[in-house]
Amino acid sequence: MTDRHEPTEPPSALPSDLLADLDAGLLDPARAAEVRAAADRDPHAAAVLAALATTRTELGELPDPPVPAEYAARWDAALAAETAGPEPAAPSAEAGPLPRRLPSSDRRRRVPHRRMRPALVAAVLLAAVVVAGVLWTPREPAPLSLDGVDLARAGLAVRGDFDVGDLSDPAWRAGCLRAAAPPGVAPGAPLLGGRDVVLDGRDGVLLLLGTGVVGRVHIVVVAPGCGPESGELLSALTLGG
Amino acid sequence: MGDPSDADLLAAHRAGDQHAFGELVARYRNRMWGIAVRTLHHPEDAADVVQEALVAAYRRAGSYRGEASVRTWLHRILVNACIDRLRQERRKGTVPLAEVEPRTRGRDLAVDVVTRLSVVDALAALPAHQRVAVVLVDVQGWPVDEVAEVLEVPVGTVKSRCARGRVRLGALLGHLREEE
Repeated sequence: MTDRHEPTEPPSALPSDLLADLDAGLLDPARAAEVRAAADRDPHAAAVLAALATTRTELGELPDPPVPAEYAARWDAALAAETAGPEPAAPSAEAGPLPRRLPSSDRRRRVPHRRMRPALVAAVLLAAVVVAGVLWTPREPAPLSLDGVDLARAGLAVRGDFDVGDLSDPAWRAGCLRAAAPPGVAPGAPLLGGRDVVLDGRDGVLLLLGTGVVGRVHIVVVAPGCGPESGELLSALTLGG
Repeated sequence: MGDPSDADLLAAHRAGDQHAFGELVARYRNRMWGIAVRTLHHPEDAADVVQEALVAAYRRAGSYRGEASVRTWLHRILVNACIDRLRQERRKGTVPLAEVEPRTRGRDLAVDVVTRLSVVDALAALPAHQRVAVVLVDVQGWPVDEVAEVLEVPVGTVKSRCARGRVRLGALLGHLREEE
């Protein structure tokens, strides 16, 4: 608690905002000289200017955080999608609608940060699980037919989907890519997305793979069962150069 | 022969060179990420905004007139995207700015350890326009006149936003006492 009889520092005649204007070079030369001269005679003002300098120094020492690889890959895929050209006005009825391209603003919309009490959260979760168990049983998504569909567009559209079974395992996928040997594709290429497809009447698995180069991605289709033991390449395409 | 300039790369992109835009982006991607993440204080939002800015720049390359440098043009797109995102979030009221208590004045060994995190949190407590100006001028070290060009405001406005922002930050970081 503050003792109201305790002597306090006399207030400075120079408010912090004025000193910050001086510090920022906002005052005209004559006014700046006047304020600086007054600040030189005022210990409080000198402390404020020192504090502003410390603040600027701390801001200047903030390093740029490294770009997370997943974001870099996402940006590469977005630019590769631009390189592939604009989307058609409407997909053909035969091919069915393509999986939704996932503009980032739609892909993730956070819900309002309302805090729920833990007991309420538990009750809601329990109810959701029970209802889901009764009303919904999981099923595999139908393979996407690529007949009559541009492979580049279909490949880019799977970004963010990872329905690729064993190929979601990096070691298994690397073995598959070694076996199938799509040209120019590193076995360790990061997976950006994938799903089951039908290509020219054959079942396959489409993989969208990063290259580490901005705006460049690989689209690879392999036969089902691709793995370290064997792998059959059905199609391969590199976008963005 | 040295590296192509930014303007050369953008011109090559407009002429159909498929590698040129990627090379241009590679020069600025880290900085753009730094600006976005410091301004928005949320990695997912920052990633979205950088992506929006890169795609917008790709699409708008044809309308670049050379009135500002490519770097300024590119960052203007980014900063506008950041400001739009902040406005959207504020309208929705979904992302309250961090409530940061001013740090107790005085330093000890622990203070230096936590300074960086505290500076990041304190930045998030600034009003959007002050935050953008401070990030560009003080964090990124851009000249004030170029920041004015990016933000399309007078130089004095940038200085004023920085001045107000530094006072607030100085208080939040415990270097200054808040004035009545």
